[in-house]
Amino acid sequence: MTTGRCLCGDITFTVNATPSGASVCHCGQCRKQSGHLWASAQAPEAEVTIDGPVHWYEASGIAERGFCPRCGSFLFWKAHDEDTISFALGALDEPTGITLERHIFTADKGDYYDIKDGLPQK
Amino acid sequence: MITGACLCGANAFELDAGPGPVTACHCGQCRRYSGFHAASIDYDAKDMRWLRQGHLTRFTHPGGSTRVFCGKCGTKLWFEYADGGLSLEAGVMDAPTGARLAGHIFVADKGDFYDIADGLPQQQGWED
Repeated sequence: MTTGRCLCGDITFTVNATPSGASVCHCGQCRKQSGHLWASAQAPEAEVTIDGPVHWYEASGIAERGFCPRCGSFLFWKAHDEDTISFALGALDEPTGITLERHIFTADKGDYYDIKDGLPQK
Repeated sequence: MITGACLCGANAFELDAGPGPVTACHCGQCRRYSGFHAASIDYDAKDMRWLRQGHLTRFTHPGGSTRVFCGKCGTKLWFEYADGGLSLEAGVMDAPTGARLAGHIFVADKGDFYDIADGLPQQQGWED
């Protein structure tokens, strides 16, 4: 079982399915909301239990982003037309049992760092 | 000059300094907060000009350091050290930033789901 929480502990979550698609997102929205880069994996929404006052922000018309209104931890990303939810890997309790698989939206990456870990990029 | 704004636009700034080194922090607090790990640039308050501020939300750790973010869109803005020093969250900068990632700190606390492979200097904690 995968569990996680925000920095202050007001929000906790449990993932009752095997997470998939562990990735680092370099899009401009994730870079602003994370402060650098956002790492996440996904699971069916029905298998993810969230407890706490998540604040949802819709940065685009296709998805919403969830963070803790007290400590600011960026925890969730949810597309309106999908039945999965992405959750932050940095918020997970260890051991996570998860290994990053790829980088996404690298065309939008920041100009102040390089990607050198050899993982696939798209 | 470095410029930037939060996702919803409530906050925008101009930083009159040449970009200092970007430092990546892998401590457990920065990992929970960011969702991966943090990266920031130290700056002097006298060099910062806020064009707009809104929905500012402050989270202060027991040790006195404070994280400041936009409470509407969640964009991470800056970190205040307990001694008053300031550090700008790297992700909020507009391109071209002219900045470069220079090293990693608190790598002893890094997450178990990734490796650090960029060859930059690593410190186990704040200082080795």
